[in-house]
Amino acid sequence: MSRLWKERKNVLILAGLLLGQLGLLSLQVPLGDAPSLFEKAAFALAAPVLRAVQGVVRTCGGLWSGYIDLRGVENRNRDLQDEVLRLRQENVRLQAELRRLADGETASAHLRPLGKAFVLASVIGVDIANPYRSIQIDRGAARGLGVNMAVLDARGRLVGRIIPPVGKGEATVQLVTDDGSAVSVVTETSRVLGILSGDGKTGQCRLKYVPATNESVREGEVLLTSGFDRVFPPGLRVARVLSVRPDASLFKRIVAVPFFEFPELRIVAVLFDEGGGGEPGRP
Amino acid sequence: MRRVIEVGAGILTAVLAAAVLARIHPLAGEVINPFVVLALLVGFIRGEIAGAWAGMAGGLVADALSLGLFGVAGIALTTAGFLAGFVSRKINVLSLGRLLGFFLALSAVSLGLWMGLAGLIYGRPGPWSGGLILVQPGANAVLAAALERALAGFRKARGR
Repeated sequence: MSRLWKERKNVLILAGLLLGQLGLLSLQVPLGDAPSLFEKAAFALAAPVLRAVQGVVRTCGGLWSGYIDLRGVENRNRDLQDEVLRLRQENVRLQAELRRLADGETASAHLRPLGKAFVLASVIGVDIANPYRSIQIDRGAARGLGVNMAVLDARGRLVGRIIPPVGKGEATVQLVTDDGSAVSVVTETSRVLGILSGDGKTGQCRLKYVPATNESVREGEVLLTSGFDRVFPPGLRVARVLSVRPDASLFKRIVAVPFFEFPELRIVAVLFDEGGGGEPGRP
Repeated sequence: MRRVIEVGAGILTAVLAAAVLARIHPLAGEVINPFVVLALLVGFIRGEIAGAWAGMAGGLVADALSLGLFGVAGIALTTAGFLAGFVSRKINVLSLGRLLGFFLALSAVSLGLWMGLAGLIYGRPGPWSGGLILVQPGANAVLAAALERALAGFRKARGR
């Protein structure tokens, strides 16, 4: 036996191994598809290794794709930055458009009761050196705008009037806060007449030519256009009296604050004269 | 003991390679069988007994990781590992072409045995994977020959 082992050791080992595995195979036959105990044990040993390997491979794959294989990322990043810039610009444009439409709706709702034809315009420029004196709007002679037409804010409050120059598609508006402006106004309750001029510097106005003997003008009183200047239709709300003081002259020193809010002046309405162009209530 | 560790490390490497192949493509394991490569290499380098043990261990692990009867791949790879050691000492396989042919033949024998056993047990032909499995002996042979040459170079460098 020992001789046979010495002479045929390798073949005997091979035969033993094969027989062992054939035995394993034959043991499984009655079990059908159910795994044998040995198979379960081998699987229990190999499965964790396989799972660990899968984890390592997944981690390595993540490292590779996330940190090492970054070819084309710079170009993609540049493209995305361009896209972000474009989308931001688009967003700003759309927000402005939305705001303009909302302002237009608001303006139409407030101005329709006036019963006058008007055209809506966007403010496209402000006098940089004297911001309380004039603004530029994006409607002009092509839409029927002319000199001395009244300009209101989106809530129907007086802003100013069209002054030369009036371009085909643009016009200049003299604000009521300009020191060269003069609007004939009347106090809402006491019906005292006066001329409202701006100071051109602070955004406030002065109510001029109210006699010093007049005691009926009070702080907080609302000033409306009188219509006597034949420029502005009567009844438009213009300003509110801020302070009433005596003066060394024959007239009182009355300061008023206009109703329109300069920083929020984005949309204005230009009122047409009686029989003028434009479609009532339509921007 | 050293050979046991070597075979263990080889099996771990084969499991790793099988997992990587499966991650690359589900059918990649049909083209290259790392357990066959392991059995052929161990048999060629360490002799027929080590090859038979490595083939059996690798084959049983491969069987454990797949559905079907436990031991089919074990028998095929045990035979292939044994033959790799036994035959390589009887013939000249020094040149790369001969080595490739030798591994190709043994890999084909291993595949044939596995297919034959599977067909015998299940009573139907083994999985052909659309013929893709026929590429396996060639791919195994190329990989085994490349690894053998790399290991030989490594041993030579260490020997200096």
